[in-house]
Amino acid sequence: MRYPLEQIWHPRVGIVNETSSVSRKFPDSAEVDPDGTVTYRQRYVGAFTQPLRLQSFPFDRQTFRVQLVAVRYRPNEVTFVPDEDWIRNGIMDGAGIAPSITLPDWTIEKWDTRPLVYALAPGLQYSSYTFEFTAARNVQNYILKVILPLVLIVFMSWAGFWIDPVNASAQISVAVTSMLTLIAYRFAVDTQLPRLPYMTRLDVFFLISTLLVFFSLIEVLITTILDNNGQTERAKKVDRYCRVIFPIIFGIASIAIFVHPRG
Amino acid sequence: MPFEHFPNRAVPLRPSTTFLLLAGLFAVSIQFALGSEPPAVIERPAADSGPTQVSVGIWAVDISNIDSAQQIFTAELAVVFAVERFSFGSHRSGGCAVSARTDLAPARWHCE
Repeated sequence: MRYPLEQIWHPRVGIVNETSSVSRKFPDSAEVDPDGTVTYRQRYVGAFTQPLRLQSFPFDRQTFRVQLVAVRYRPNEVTFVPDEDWIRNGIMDGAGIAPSITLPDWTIEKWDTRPLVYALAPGLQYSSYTFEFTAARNVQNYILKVILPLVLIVFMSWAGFWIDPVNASAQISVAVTSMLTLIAYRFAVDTQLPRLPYMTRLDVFFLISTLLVFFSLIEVLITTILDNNGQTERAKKVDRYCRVIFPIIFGIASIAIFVHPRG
Repeated sequence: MPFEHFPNRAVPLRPSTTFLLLAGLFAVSIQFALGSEPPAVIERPAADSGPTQVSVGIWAVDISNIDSAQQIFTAELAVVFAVERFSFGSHRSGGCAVSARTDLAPARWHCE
């Protein structure tokens, strides 16, 4: 038999991190079996908030949580446990994720459920139950669409090292174009991240790239000045050094930024 | 005088009729006030027998989006909560059962 929730006792479960967009698809009613078991089924659809630690972006792994809380009931009044029927039917921990989810740029790695104590305020602790899943960002998309073009822009800025210092205008135009391209590119990529008080891995990579492109512009200015002062051979020597030094610095920085475990 | 053609149609009410009308209005207003009260909180059944155990099953039907900029994720979750009869007092041999619609309130859980 089916009864409206307000007519029977229920643990008054709310979701701590739901946004206003979350809707409940089923009516607020419970089924009561002849043996007295009360079952309430609900389908929640919408957005849930989750603070993310983005220091390792885009090489990051995040844990997402849906936290159910029994509003009004303390841990010694209501306890949540995984559904035994679900476990008997092969669903571990009474929870799972459908294999056909449509999340395109993340890979779900694992999920877990556990009872928790939700502290609303000091002294106000309620019984809670959380469903967590861990997902890793698919980095191929960022490598191909963000990092690779950025690397090419940096490479482009080094073209000035191979141009004869006598052609100062060509050297300078290459360096300035690289700098402007990098700045414009930065604006395009910025929309994918919130305004963070810290730097992500991609931010650091952007910063290193910007500095290298800027220093290549400075190098072009130096060689131009040397050439104008009749020190063309010295300018060519500086160019030859920079052809090696800049790629080495860029390579070491890239390895330091990207080659360590996901955060 | 244009108003001369409209005689005064006011009918004086008897005091008893006025009293009855006022009493009726008062009764109706009380009824509305009672109807607008929030439903009483239903107390947890068998609260003395320890915590009530609630079984939870959660199935993520879909996770469609993770927005790093907004710090939100969009999901569709199927959740099942079950409160078994044993939760309402394991010391009772037969547990508790619901016998009729009017017996659903916790004080009226039918225990054998």
